[in-house]
Amino acid sequence: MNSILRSFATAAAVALVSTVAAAQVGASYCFGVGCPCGNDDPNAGCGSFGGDFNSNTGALLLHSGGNASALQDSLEFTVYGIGANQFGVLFMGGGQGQSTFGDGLRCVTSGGRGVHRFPVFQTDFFGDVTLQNIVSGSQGFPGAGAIQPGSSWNFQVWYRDPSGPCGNGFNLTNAIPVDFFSTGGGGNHTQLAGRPLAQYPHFEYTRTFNSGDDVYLAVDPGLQPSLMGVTADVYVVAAKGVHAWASDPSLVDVRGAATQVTFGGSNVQANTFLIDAGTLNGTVGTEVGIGYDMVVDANQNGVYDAGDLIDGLSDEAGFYVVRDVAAPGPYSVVETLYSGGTFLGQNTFYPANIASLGQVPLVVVSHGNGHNYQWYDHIGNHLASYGYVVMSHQNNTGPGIETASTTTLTNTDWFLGNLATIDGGILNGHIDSHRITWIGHSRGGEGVVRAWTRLSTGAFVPANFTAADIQLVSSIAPVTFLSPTQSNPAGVNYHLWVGSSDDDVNGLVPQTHFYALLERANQDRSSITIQGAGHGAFHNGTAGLVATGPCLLTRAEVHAIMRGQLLPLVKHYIDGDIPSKDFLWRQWESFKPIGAPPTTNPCVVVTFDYKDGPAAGNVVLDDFSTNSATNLSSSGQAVAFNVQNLSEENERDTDSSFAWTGVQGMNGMTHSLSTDQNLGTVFDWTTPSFWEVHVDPFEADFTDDAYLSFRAAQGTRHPNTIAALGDLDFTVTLRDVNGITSSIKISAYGGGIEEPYQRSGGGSGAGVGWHDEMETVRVRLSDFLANGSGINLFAIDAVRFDFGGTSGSAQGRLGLDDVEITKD
Amino acid sequence: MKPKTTLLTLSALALTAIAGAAALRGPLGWFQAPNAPLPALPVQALGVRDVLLAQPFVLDEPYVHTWRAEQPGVSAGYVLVLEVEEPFTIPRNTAESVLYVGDQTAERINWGTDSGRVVALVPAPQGADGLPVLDLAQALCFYGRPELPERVDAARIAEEQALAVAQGVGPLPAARVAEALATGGEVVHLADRTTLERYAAELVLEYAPAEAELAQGLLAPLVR
Repeated sequence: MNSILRSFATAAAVALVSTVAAAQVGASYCFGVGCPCGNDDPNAGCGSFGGDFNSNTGALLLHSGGNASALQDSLEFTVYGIGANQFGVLFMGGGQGQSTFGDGLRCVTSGGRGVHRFPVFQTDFFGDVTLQNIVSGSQGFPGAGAIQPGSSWNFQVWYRDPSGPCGNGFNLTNAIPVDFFSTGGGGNHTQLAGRPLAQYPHFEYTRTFNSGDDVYLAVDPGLQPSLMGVTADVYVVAAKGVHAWASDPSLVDVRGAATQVTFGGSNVQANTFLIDAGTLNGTVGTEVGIGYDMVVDANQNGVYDAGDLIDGLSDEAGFYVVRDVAAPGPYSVVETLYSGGTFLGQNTFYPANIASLGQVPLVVVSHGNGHNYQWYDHIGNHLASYGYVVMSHQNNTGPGIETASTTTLTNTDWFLGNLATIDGGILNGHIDSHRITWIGHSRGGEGVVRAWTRLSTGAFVPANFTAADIQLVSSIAPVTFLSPTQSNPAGVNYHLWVGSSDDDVNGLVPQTHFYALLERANQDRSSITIQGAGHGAFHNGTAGLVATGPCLLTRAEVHAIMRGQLLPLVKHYIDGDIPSKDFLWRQWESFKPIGAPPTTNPCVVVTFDYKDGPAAGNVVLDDFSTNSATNLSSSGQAVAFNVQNLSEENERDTDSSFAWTGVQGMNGMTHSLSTDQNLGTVFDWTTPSFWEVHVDPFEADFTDDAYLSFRAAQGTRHPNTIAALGDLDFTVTLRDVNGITSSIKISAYGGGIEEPYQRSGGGSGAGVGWHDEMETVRVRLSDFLANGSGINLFAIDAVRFDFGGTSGSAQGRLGLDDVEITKD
Repeated sequence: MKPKTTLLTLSALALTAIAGAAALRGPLGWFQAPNAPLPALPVQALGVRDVLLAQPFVLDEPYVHTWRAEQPGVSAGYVLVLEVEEPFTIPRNTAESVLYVGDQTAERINWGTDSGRVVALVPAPQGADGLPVLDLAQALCFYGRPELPERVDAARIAEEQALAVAQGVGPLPAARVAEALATGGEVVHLADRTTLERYAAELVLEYAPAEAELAQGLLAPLVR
């Protein structure tokens, strides 16, 4: 758990302790009845000479906080009111009993799994102490002592009491039983809401639903055994933060009434219930969506309290229902055209009610060569209708990238410095110059990256903004003329749009290896690749689509995709919007903007590549960029494989042709120029084969992580790719240190590694199949626990990919990169 | 000398040339054929068929010529209207053929899409009389190899000229140059680059109406 989550968990515990039932994880037992020397205290433990000395305060000596997630490890115990500076020991066991022991009662027994002691503690001056890291602290216990998701343990504290009432010198607190469960992944919250899957793991816990989507609840009996046989009420509640839950645990269902369900059966499929058939509202103001929390009220008392489950006990909602993000927002839009002089022509869009909106973010659009700054109405109107100001400017692209970058910089600066004169000064005081997005198209697409490089290195110093004010840079079908030292989005969140039918920036020659800019980015980075989209389809001008290939998309179709992706992209990076992130990585087949072309249109094929920046704290298992030996991962661990023709190379097509020659391993890869160094691995198979990487023992605990993430692409025009001619499917497996495995086919979540765009010609040599389309696949780690897999996520030894046979597609060729364990 | 406005006169004179050019070649239809693939880009030095207008200019305030590596200041030069071959009129974002006039790179204001007519700014040094010095009758006028103009320096220009000569490129016919100069008329004195740009935009509207939107973008209301 990272420090933020730790802080949150502590805050949550403190907040919840102040409430009554909601505070406690597990219902206390072993109160002071039948104590050794008449020191009974039926509301607490046996009386002592500590804070509970002969006072019958009714206060429990031992409290629990956090939650019982075995993955989060946020459970904590607090001991109140025993002697100051006294020593004690928290211990746990698998059984319950009662026998006198010292001045108190011992109520925790082995239960066949042993009694295990945590390290000795000492109370503070007030006789208090808080104990954390319960789950991780148990992992070294012998036998079956390591706490696992789905296991139940009883906890009690032994403490020294030299002046105790019975003269034995020690006493015990009350005891607390805890049923440990899996959060369902997703980092810091229990997952309940999602959608059923046709194959293992049979349920996908999801954060974001489109309006109109069915919302399901699933509980895995292996992870929540205490719920089996229980009839409960399931509430969908307007999202509340943790403090709000602590102060008001009452349950009010937004649908008018809770849904009653009865848990039972042996697997997650039998415990999957439709909770809402698309009635939940996702539209409010300019927000992308509306947050809800889901609560399983196990005791049906209409209050979130002990024994209940909640999806959303944090400042992040349990789940979100989002609007049609491709549809216009609530504000009417004003468009204005003006010029500040040479290469300062600007076409600006703003909400008509800007005067009442305070300060709003700025989006700057830099067009491409042969394009026009009046050709981005679809961006301007859409974002302005959601409360952004969009300024599209005249761009000096003719001379090249340097001049284009200059006009991006000077137009942004001039705009911010002349708000008092633009359109009568209506924007003056209403632009938040610290939240700027740059979007560039083609030469302008590299221009905005070059502009960022000049700005961030101090080579250009504007008067009215700084590098820190640029929050997001997005390139549409950019050229790549310049080296990594000249055009580099390092230090800023970066996004890339690619059209696979582009007949201008087509990926063939090095100056069109558009993905290279993505690879140079070192913060959050993502790309969207749209098959059938031409170069001109990204603007709304009068010029052609500049497209070749089958199944071409119309400008209207591409713009619907752009609107639907652009709003969440900007909302996520500029406004920190949480549900928007799903739009950046989930398989298009299972989640897309409502207003984007339907998935029934086979020509609409969209893939995403997503990678968090280093601040996310993800663990890299292998990014292939160090330790180039094929049997050693970049994290220094052993790699084993029997796939064929494996190599680790720079992801760069070197001959400006996509024809398969048999000698160029990275054929069709457009992720590097000769001046870039971005290695990946590539291999193929025709028989059952595998590739696996061992996990650094120091990183073996996956319980505070959310996803296994990797990205992959089919090998352009390789005979196996042509033979497969479809999405590639394969199986990913986790194996723990005891050799227990759990496996999931990537197709379980919809789609696979996308079939390459079947484009031919264009000077690319014989055959069909265009540039690689790296797409990210993320598999929720807790999904590997489904239906009692038995795998120990605390101690993972290896991540394995199996190909062919029953594991997936019979044959194929795959480029693989960035195998990671992610936090979110 | 006080700048003078010659737009109306220029426009009237240009009509003859436009009519003549239209008779020579029909619209290329790029804007009308949205799914057409990009034509291959010639690598040979050629492409300029005719000069329709040559207008000398002098500026009160110089600007930077960003279309070559040295980025010289420009106080004078010529506005040309050239008639060019179709493959050079289709914009692209990969390297385009660079337009050369004499020993200078020309700044294209438009591409000539669908019209085949390109309005270009050609910097020229000022003579003792303050007028631009450029012998258009001797200057080679051609498209060279694809490159980003901002990376083209004097050495590259000399190399391109040599290649052009080797491929048989010669000066435009003297009679056509004389006619273009007559069409352009006297030197115009303009305040600055912005004024020059707007002047050129008017020529785009007249000679290359398919690119009217580009011209209108250059003519957006000034707020400075």
